[in-house]
Amino acid sequence: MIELKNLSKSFDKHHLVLENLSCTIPDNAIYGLVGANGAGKSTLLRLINSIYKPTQGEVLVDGKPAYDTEDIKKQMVFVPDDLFFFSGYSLTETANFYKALYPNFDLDFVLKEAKTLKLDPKANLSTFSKGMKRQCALLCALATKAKYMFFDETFDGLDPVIRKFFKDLIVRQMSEKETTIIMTSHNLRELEDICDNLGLLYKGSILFEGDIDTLKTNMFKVQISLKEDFDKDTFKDLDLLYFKKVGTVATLIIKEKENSKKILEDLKPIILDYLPLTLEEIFIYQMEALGYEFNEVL
Amino acid sequence: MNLMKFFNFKFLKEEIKSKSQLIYSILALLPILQIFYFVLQLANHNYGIVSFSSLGGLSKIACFIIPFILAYALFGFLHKKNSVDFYLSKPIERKTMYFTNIIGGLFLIIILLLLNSIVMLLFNIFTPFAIPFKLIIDYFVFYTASFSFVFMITSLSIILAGNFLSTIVVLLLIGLMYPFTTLVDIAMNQNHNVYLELDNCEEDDCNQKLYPSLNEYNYTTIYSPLMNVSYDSKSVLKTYFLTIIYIGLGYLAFEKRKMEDNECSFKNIKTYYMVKILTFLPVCFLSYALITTHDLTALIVSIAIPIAYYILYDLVMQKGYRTFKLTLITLCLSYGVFVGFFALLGLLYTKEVYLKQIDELVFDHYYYNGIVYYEDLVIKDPKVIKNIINSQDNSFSEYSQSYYITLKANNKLYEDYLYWPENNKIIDDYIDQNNIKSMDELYQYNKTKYINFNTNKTIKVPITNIMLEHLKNAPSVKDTYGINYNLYYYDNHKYYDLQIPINATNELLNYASKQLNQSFIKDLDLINESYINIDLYDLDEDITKDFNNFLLNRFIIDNKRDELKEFLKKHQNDEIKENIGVIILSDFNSKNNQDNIFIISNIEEFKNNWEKWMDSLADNKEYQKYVKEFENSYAY
Repeated sequence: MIELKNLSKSFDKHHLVLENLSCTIPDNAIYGLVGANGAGKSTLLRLINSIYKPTQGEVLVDGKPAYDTEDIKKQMVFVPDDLFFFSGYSLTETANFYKALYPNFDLDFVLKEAKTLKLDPKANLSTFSKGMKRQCALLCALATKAKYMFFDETFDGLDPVIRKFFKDLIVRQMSEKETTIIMTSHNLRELEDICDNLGLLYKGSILFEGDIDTLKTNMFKVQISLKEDFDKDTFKDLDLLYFKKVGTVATLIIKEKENSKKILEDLKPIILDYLPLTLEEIFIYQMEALGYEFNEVL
Repeated sequence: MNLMKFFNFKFLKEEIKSKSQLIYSILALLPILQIFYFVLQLANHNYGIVSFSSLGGLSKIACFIIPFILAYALFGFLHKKNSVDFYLSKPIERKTMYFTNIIGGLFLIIILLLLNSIVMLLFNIFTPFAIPFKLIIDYFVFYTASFSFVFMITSLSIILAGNFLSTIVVLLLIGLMYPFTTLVDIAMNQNHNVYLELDNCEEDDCNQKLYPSLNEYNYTTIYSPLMNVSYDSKSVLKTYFLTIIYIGLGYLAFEKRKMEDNECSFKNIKTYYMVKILTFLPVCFLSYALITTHDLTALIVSIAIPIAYYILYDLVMQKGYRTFKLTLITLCLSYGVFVGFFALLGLLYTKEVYLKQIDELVFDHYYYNGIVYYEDLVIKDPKVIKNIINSQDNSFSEYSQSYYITLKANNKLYEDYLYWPENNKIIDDYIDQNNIKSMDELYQYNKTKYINFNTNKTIKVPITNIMLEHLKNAPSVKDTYGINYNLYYYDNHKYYDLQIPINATNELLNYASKQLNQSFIKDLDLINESYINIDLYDLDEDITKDFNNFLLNRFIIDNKRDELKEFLKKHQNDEIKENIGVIILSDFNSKNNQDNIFIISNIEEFKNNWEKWMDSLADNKEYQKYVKEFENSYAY
């Protein structure tokens, strides 16, 4: 488990990139970190990976301080947004570099998946496209079998088929090896179908975080029509996050309480449809509930 | 303490592998250039005893370039965000990464210098180059210090800076700090007027003015070869010591380094200005020096240079100004403070000192009887010193001896020339009375490794016991005339040499003559392009005049080449008899004018042959012309 305690990071006196950030990343989960550009996502990953030293606070991994500790770093692998490869190196050579540093590195995995992805393991990486380079970096990272994997803007430059391929690989990795995966994106939709936990970073702080399933079950979207005329007040017993009526049909977003559905059914609606909520919608209404404009945050 | 926490072999292996092309090129570069240099020298017949300076000729430049490239290869990743992410996220602690790279860099330097030393050793074994093993060891120790020092200061600069340009600035600051302070000291010492107070001088103006005081500067080994200072143990130790200090400082800097500081010069404004002001110091010194010339143009330049530097620095280092107001304030303040400081320093240095008590007088290479000399003859006896100084010929009218000396007084060194009339034997008497050993007395015969024949060809000699006995009993060269050997060996970081007459030992002469003759025969075809000089030595006679006709010799040799070759080949292994002759083949293609020598043992037979060749050419008009010309010039 990764605990961030009052973590702050400033690059100069006047600008705090992260401010007093605290959160917990549970084990064996895929944790999505979303936030607008400059929110501090990459800085946070660099702090956890001991690339940067916190100005204040600390990172604990399984209860132990993680900064610049080899034993803990062996359990972590980081794929940054801007990739680096040794000049003239091939995928095999890059994988061998990782192999020298990560005791559980699986070279066969790299070669097998490279074949599936039609990546020539002997070819010079400088001849690869941006997307192919990212595939190589992801393969090397996954092959480390590290307990914690950090992916910054993971799927940038990957086409939808390859994205799907890697999402499957990541999920498999998580379930088979009990890995914790932390991925960042400025695009919620990117993380929606893969993460089971989400944190929203805004101006250096975690504005909101939670388990996606709980979020989804805590909130539902309803299309409703009643025999009589109705307005927002009709639903005053519910924790209403959103109300919009077009003609005789209204769309509601309701925060789940014990008897919300019963209250709706007791109104004897002509139409009562429960609709799936997108993650973006969940965030929009959560943010609004917290008093933020979603467009400002993300 | 777990030492493995400081070193990760797998990481080093991968690091070297990832930069293999660059590293292998670096490792090969110096030995290849060294081979090229030796081959070039061989082609030019420019070989013999190799000095420390010429052995390290390439290395004194390479020690600035190769370690710099190596340090950049190992620590350059700190200046790119993506490479910082890549390296720092790997499961290696900062201290392990730092020490692994440092140990790796130093290891590569050692390998590089070992390879180069092996090249030297091979050239010593298989070619006529005389490169003593101890000299190679000295080369290795000296240049390991130089290369390691540059590697460390470059690594430290990379760690402290954020990009290439700022690395260069920090590197220059660290590297030139000490030479700059010595430069200031030397310049300021010009204001320091020191006089040697003489007993018989009643008025101040007749006291002897000394050259400005010299402090005993102790440069690191990277500067000493550039200043023509050869191997100096103090410098070597200082360089190793500083290298260790910089390793420690580098570690602290690496541990504390803000890894977000990359791809720009200095993110921190305080550091930016601190470095800028420090680099401004030498500019202010130059400005101060120009002001002191009291010349209007120099004065204008002295103001223009600091302003130009200040603006250029900002433009280059950050491509713009932080703020114009701040730039102007720091420029005026730092300029005022620095130039004021140098002016104050100048005032403090300006004084007149009359030296009454001299603590030490050192003669650099004192010549005694014209040949034997004493290296650094040190005199500490105050009475003798006083006598030496006061026995000078103050009128400077009839002096015939002048000696460069350094003298120590009040813990400072001064240099001067002392002048005496020819009959002044005060130092010779001092040497005799104190039984001071001369260089030839200090010479250890059994260490002899090389013979240098008449300052030309150098031959490596295996000294046998018989030779040793002969050598020890050899007559002193000052009692003889003619051509001499120089015996050499290398010890205590310098060459010892001893001049002995050519007939000192027959065995040695025979050994040397065979070596020289073989080499001469090999180069016989060069005769076409060379001048031939023939000296026939009879130890009881002068040189035969017939052989002094340079052009005639050439004419005879040109016409009797085959006969000469035949004669030389026949007699190349002759045993040396009492009278010997020498044919010197001067190869004018050779850059250092190194001659080939053939030693003729049977002078009579050579003379007879020569006369026969001359007779056969007697009817030749050109020959007659040369003879006539020579006779005329001889008569004149």
